[in-house]
Amino acid sequence: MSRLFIIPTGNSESTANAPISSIIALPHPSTAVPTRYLVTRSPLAIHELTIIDHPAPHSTLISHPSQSGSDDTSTASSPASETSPTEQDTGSVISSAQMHIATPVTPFLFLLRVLLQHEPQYRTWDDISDCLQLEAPAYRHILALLESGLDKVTDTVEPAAGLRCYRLSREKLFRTLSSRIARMANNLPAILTKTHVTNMLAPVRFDERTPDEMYDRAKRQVAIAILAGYLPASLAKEFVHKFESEKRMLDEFVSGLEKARAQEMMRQMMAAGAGNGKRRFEDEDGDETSKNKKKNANASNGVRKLKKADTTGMSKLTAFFAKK
Amino acid sequence: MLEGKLEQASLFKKVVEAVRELVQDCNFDCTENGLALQAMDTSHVSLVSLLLTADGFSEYRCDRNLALGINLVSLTKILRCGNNEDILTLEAGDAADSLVLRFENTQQDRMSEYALKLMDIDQEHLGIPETEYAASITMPSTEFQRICRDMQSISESITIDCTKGGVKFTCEGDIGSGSVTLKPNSSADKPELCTKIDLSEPVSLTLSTKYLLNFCKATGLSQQVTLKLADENPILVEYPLSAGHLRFYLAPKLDE
Repeated sequence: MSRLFIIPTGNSESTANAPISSIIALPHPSTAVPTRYLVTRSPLAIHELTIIDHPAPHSTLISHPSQSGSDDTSTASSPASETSPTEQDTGSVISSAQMHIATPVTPFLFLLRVLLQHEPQYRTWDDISDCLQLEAPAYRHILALLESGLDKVTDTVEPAAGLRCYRLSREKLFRTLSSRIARMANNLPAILTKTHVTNMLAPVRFDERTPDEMYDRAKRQVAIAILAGYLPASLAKEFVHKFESEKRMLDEFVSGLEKARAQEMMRQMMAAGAGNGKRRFEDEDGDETSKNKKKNANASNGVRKLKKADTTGMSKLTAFFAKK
Repeated sequence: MLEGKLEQASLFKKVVEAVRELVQDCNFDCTENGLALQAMDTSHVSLVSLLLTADGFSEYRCDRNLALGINLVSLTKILRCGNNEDILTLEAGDAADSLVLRFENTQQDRMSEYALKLMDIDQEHLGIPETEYAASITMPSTEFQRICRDMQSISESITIDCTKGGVKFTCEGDIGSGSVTLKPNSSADKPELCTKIDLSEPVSLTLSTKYLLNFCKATGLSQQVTLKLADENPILVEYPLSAGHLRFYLAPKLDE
């Protein structure tokens, strides 16, 4: 059965045509749950896969750009049988609307769990790669890739000429990760920005403005959370902790906003209760005394007198008559 | 679409003037059967229920049920722009934001039209069960008004005792006390002055004078008023209309 993969072209032309070497199962860098990854050859890269599916049965029509305009792929709801023979020559139909979206993953993330196991000791690359393959034989497909990322997260020693030994350096790891926060924060997908930044920091009143630095902090926190999702638990905790003070400042600001929002809502509800319905907006800008005056003008003498009536010992009518 | 024509604006004027003494804003519920209103005062111890059936209008049409949210003081202001003898037409579209009131004076060929802005009123309706009242007293409405007026200067509450022999209104205050007793009587040539008592068992209720006096604002609507009493239940004060009724309910004062 054919499957549809969408692979980023990146900067290099060749990636677009890079043949898929294989789909391999590796333990997830954070959870160690076996997860499928897509490996491309030349350039060698590892991608994580996100499957986007359609709830209803759908098929996908693949046509070649040279013959049918700009649409590379289009989801067609028509059944495959309707495709005429000439169309089959220029394209094909996949009997599923599943799309496998491939996104590159930083290779060194896969090293962390093994490095963490033998943390204080320096070990040779051969040693490390043996450990990796013991954990998941599929690591052999990306060993070269992993080795190239080793420098970013390890301290090295050379006890003898030509022999290099490595051990996990938290300092280097966090420095490498931190350098990515800013880049990620500025390139967050719109949906994440909306839910975790814009909505959260929306000012209570129209004439107020949330400081830009708070927006930056909120975006950075989203990026930090995403990065932490790729780290083994102990490292993730440590990593997040490094940005604790930044987070606290943001949290304080947000809880202040929430409090103000709740107060504003109460105020509006009270104003709405006093003004009632379609005329409530007239009441909003008036101060307390003018509001009271207005209320009195709208009530008859009888109603005002009854407000002063002594109702002790009298039950509400709802005690006798049920609400409909 | 609501379109209702009343031959005399005075009926609607009097009804609104009576209701506005108790409630500030309320919904007029328009159905094909007529115009109805149910509302409680701010303390929720009394309730007014109005029904103007379609028969009471010389022309009436309501295609779809409508709830017209109205401030009664504002409505009174507009009703004062018309004369008592004018023909009054009420008109509102299905999604209208105002109620149109048209006054016609056929003798002077004068026609005036006013529009009253409507409001959104979130109002709960109470289901009023059929109650077996222990006593039903029908008496001249002016007499009931006079008793309430006289006693308001003496006490905050009036006790109504109803026995076979008659109905006794009593009050007791700081300056003294008072009572009025009415016996059943009938006069063939002046039925409006009759007092009639239907009694299944003696009953006594103590009620707020201020509220009762408020209900008396409806005196002009009917020559007779009916008081219905049941032990520890709200009193029903009913002013019959030629096509419909205006009813007031008031929770009794109970000794605690």
